[in-house]
Parts: sequence; C-alpha cells; structure tokens
Amino acid sequence: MVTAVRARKKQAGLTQQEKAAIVFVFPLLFFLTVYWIIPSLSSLYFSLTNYSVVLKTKWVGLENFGRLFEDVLFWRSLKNSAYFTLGNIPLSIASGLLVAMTVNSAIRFRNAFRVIFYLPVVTSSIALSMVWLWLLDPHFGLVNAALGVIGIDPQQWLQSTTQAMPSIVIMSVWGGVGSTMIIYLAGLQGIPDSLYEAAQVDGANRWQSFRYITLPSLQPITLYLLVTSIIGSFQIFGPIYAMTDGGPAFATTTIVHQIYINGFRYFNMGYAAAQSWVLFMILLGLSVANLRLQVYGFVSD
Amino acid sequence: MRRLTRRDMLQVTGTATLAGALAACGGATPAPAAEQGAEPAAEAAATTAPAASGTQVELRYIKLAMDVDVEKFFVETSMPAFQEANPGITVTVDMSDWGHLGEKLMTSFAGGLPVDAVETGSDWVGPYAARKQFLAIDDMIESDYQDEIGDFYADMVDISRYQGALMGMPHILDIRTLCYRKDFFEEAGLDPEKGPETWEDLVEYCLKLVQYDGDNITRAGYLMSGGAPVDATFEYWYLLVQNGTDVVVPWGSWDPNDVQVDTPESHEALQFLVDLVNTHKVSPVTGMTTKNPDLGPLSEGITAMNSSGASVVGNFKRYAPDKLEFLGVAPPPMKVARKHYACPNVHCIGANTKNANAAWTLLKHIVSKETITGMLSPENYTPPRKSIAAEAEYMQDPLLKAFQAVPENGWGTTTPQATEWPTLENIGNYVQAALRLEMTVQEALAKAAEDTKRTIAELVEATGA
Repeated sequence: MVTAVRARKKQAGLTQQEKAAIVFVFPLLFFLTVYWIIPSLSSLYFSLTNYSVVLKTKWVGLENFGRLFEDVLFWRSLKNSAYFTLGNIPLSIASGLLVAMTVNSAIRFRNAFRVIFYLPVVTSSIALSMVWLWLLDPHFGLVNAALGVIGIDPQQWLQSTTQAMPSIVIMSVWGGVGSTMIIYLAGLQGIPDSLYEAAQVDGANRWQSFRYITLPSLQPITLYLLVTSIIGSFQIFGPIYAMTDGGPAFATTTIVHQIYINGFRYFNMGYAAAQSWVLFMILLGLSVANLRLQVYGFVSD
Repeated sequence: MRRLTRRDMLQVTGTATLAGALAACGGATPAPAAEQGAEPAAEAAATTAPAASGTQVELRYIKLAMDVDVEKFFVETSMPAFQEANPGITVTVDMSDWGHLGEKLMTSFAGGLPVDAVETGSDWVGPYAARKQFLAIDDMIESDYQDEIGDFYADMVDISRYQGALMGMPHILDIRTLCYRKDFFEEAGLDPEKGPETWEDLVEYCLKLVQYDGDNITRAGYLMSGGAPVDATFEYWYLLVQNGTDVVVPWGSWDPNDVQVDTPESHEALQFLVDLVNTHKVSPVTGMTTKNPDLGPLSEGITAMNSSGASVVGNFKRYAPDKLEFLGVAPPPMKVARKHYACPNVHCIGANTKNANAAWTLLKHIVSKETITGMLSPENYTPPRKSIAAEAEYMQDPLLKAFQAVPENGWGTTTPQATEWPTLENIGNYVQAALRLEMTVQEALAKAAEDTKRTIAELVEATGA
C-alpha cells in the first residue's frame, strides 16, 4: 500500500511543498558549498602542497604534516591552546551559571543586570582587548592601581610569560559570561517550579535543590556549552592578536595564531592548512569524546 | 510539458550550486605575477604611456598610513597636484599599516589586483624581489632620472637593490639614534651636551639616571622598548650593529649558512641587553608606556635616554614645546662600530602593473623634492635627499641635523635582505625569552638561528633566490 502511494507520488513529480523546500534550502546550500565545502576541500588539497599563494605550487604529500612533529612552536601553541581551554571553560561555565542563577532570582534591577552582563558579548572583541590592554598596563593600569591600594606590588600581566595567558583567560571569561548566562537562563526558566516545591516539601535545603534538581536539569545545556566552549577556546585568536601577538617569548601563541602567522605572514599556506586540519581533528576528537561520555553516562546522573 | 521530478529538481539545484560555486571561485582573476612569465618587468614596461595613448589610466597605490598632518598634505596638496599635472592618470590610494601590508600585498598579487605603486620598507624589498613581485626600475632611472638620483643618499638607494637591480626609490628615512633629556643629565651631574660614547659609558650614565620607587622603576636610565617582539628585535638590532656584526645575515647573502644570529658578537650584544635589564636594572623588561598617548617616553619624562627617530623632535615641538630645550640628540654609542638604525621607506612598482610608465610617473612625483618636503616636515621626518636635508626650512633645526649626521657620517645600519619581518619578529620572541631569563642567551640565539636558517632555506627553495 505504502509502496503504491510512493510510486504514484514519484510519477506525479514533486509536490508544491517539496519544491518550496528545495527553493528554501538552495541559498543555504549555495553558501555552504561556496564558503565551507569548497574552501575545506581546497585546504585539504593545499595541506599536501607547498602552496604559498603567489608562487608555483608543488605537491609535497604528507611533508607538511611530518614537519608538525618537529615544529617546536606548533607544540608550544598546542600547549598554550590547551592551557587557555582548561582555564577558560570551567571558569566560563561556572561564572555563567552563577550569574544566570543570580539574575534569575527575584532581585531588584534584574533586567538591568541581564543587559549589563550581556553587553560585552555584543561588543567587538578587539575593542574589549584594547580596554583590557589599558586595564592591565604594568605601569599605570587600573588593575595594578587597585592592587596597590591593598598593598600588592604591581604585576607585569601581559608582559609576563607566566601571567600573560591567565590575563587573557580572565578577559575571555569576563567577555563571554553574558553569552553563557543567557543560555543557562533559558535553561533555568525551563525547570518546572513544581520540582523545587516538591523538594522543599521533602525538606531539601538550597544546596540539595541545586545539586539534585538544577544541575541535572541543566545537563544537556552544560554539555552543549562544553562542546561549543572547547571549540571556541581552541580557536581563540582575536584577543591574542590584539593584545600580545603571541608574546612575550611565545607565551601566548595559540594554534590559530600560529596558523595565521604561517599563512599570512610567512605565506606558507600549505603548512598553515596542515595545521588547520590537525586542529580540526583535535576538535572533532574532543567533541566526539564529549558526546560519548554523555552516551555512556559519565556525565548523566 | 513534463512535470519536474524530485531527481530533476535536485539535478537543477546541484548544477546551479556547482556553477555558482565555480563562478564565485574563478572570476576573471589573472594568474599571479610570478606565474605570468619569466619577464614580468619587460611585459609591464612595454605598456603604452598614458599621455601618449590619450587613454585614461587607473593606478592603485598602496600607501602606508601616517600622521594626520602628513595625510592632510598628501590628500589635499600632493595628490591633487599630481592629478592636475597628469590628467590621464587616476590614482586610487589604498591605505595600509605596517601590520597588514604583507597581507594586502599577498592578496593583491594572488587576486590579480594591480600593485602599481607601493610604499614599503627597504628591508622588505629582497623577498618580494626574489618572488618577482617588484619591478626593477634601472631602465626608468637611466632614461629620465639620472640627474635626480644623485641627490639621494647613495647608501639608502643601494639598500633597495636586489642582485644589483634597483627595486625602489627611498622616500623617508627612519633614522634612529640615542636621544636624552638634558635636564635629567644635569640633575645627575652629567654633561648635558654630550651623550654616552661607549656601552660602558651607557651603563654608567644609566646607573646615575635611573630612579626607583621601591623596586619599581619610575624613570628608566635607558628605556629598552621590549614590550612587543618587534620592539625587542629593534633594541637587539641597534646593539648588533654597534658590536660590528650584521643583522641576522650579511646584506645580499641568501645562504642559510651565513646566518649570524648565533655568533660571539651577537651573544655579547644580547647579553648586554639582558644585563641592562636584569643586572643593572635600568629599564623594565616590559618597556614603559606613557600615560599621555600624545607624548613619547622622553617628553613625558619616564626615561632619561632611549633610541628614537627624528619624529621625537616633532613630538616635543607639538606636545611638549616647553621641554624642547631639554631634548638632546647624540651620536650612536659604540662597542666596535658607531652605528645605529637608518633604513628608508621605499616606493616600488608591483610586477603585476599594466601601467609601468604611469606608475613610474607617480613614483617620481612621490619622491620629488616638493612632495617629500611637504610630507616629512610636519612630523620632522628625515629626508632621503641631500638637497632637502641642506635647504629645507624645517631641516635647519640643529636637532634634526644631528639625526641627519647618522647617514652623512656612515653611521647607518646593515639590514638583512634574505629575511621577512616575521622572521625578525620570531627572533624578537627569543630576545624576549632571554630578557625574561626564560632561556639563556646561548639557548635563545641557538633556537633563533635554527628557525632563521630554516625560513631562509625555505624562501630560497621557493623562489630560487
């Protein structure tokens, strides 16, 4: 019976709805092809060549990937990217959740706080970087001035090999907290009040309500934030470019910064493409691992 | 009429997508300059002069952004004068900054956008010439510029050659030397009319001039601007040439084995810098920024000495005229050679130009006495032409004459030709590592030398330089 219906439909051609669907999908398909599929496949090809944009391109096979193993700066950038990611994600998620819970409660000027916390998200990351560059100035920055009030010596911040990356982490957490907050806020508002009321009746305190109702209910959101934050953190570039350019002494050079340096300063596009593919594989691996953890219940309660 | 099936629709959509994608990627882009043929110079030079053909010629001129007053003269006076004198040529000015110039050139050459004229640094010429991206201009000089070329400092012209061929015309000299505050010298009991002569003097002066608040330096003895890798490179560069060695690689050499980053002289130069910061503690490793962004470190008084270009004079005149009498300009201090940094910005013609003659006409206008004087005088920049140095009103200032003494006395620099700026920035990162005691001088320079040899070898392999 079903086969017969399908056969009749096929004979009759596309329905109006199907035609409309294809027309609606076409623009996205076009841009996806032009701006994603073709560049991605091109970069895979370029990663196997010595492509330098302006000179003749030569096929080098896996040479670029082999070179990665010997490139000290590439490993340094991977380490820095991982450092940034490990510093940024827990702080971003925790602070985002904290702020979301605060502005979800019945406090005065709640909407104003929501707007204030979200403002950095809609501000250019380069503009934010410039502001933080001044705040963290070792000689007359406001942060050192504030530390001076409580008797702490001025710090070198972005000029120190040990403090530069933590400084960028702090700036990124501050700049991204609004985005995390808004997602958690949506999640918090989706948790039925009846769950909290039942817990209250059962004698649960606020911590227990948070631990056994709020956190599990927000788990899919946390997983989503985890995956997108890992990807975003490994792709950090704007603040690095604007604030330190990878310095001092390579202390903040990240993998995307190295891709930029190799591609757009040394014009080694082939090598930069190989680095991009390694980054892609790392992110793919981490994302899959995250999802597997979810499937196998390591994350779920 | 047959009705469209799902397969038909998908085929149409797929074909349209593919066609659109190919169209978007292809376009009418000509092949990159280096692949257009072995003789791009001859091809470009063979084009007809605009005035002769009577056709309107369009030029694209990539220019480095400069101070507001310089830009004002350029936009309101210089370009209109050129257009009036050359009605057959229309110039589109594409502004850039140093940080993005490389990207702009790369995308221009790759995308077939003409680089008819470009302002760049003399130390950029080598790699671009090796990639056949700039035109040699010797024929043009010979045909109608013989009388003028002698007015330019010969050293500054020669620095823009590649394998004997002249690739650009000097436009502005970036001359740096030791500048200081006379009032601070007097306070410290030093002769305010005389700067330190040697590295040993420099240390001695610094120790008398530096001021602290607890452990924090409030006024540097000599301000080492090592906050960014590129600044660290420059500070190291000054000391290399003063120690009688080449910067990175001897000028004109493309042999990776000639790299001189890891030599006894370079070790001594970097060790001196490390000691200034860490042993003598006369400058913060971070450099120092001024509270007032209009002022420089000397005019704000956060250092007693530093290495500055001639624009420091313009900065004092404009923003701290009351302190101008305290500004001192000294010859470069020396270890082995009395040298400092002196490199010109140069104007070159891109190899993908279709209007080489018109581009040459523009270049001649840009480096003419009138244009150079008008553009350099607001900021007190140093001119590349001897006649301007001798005659221009703004150059009669003794402070500016002290800067001019650097090239006139042969106190200029040596530059590497076989390296691009990223390589020098890379070395700057290792300099920063040594300054922060993250690596020893030996380790830092050994690593820097290894990286530099590799990048030069890659450049040579890619270009056949």
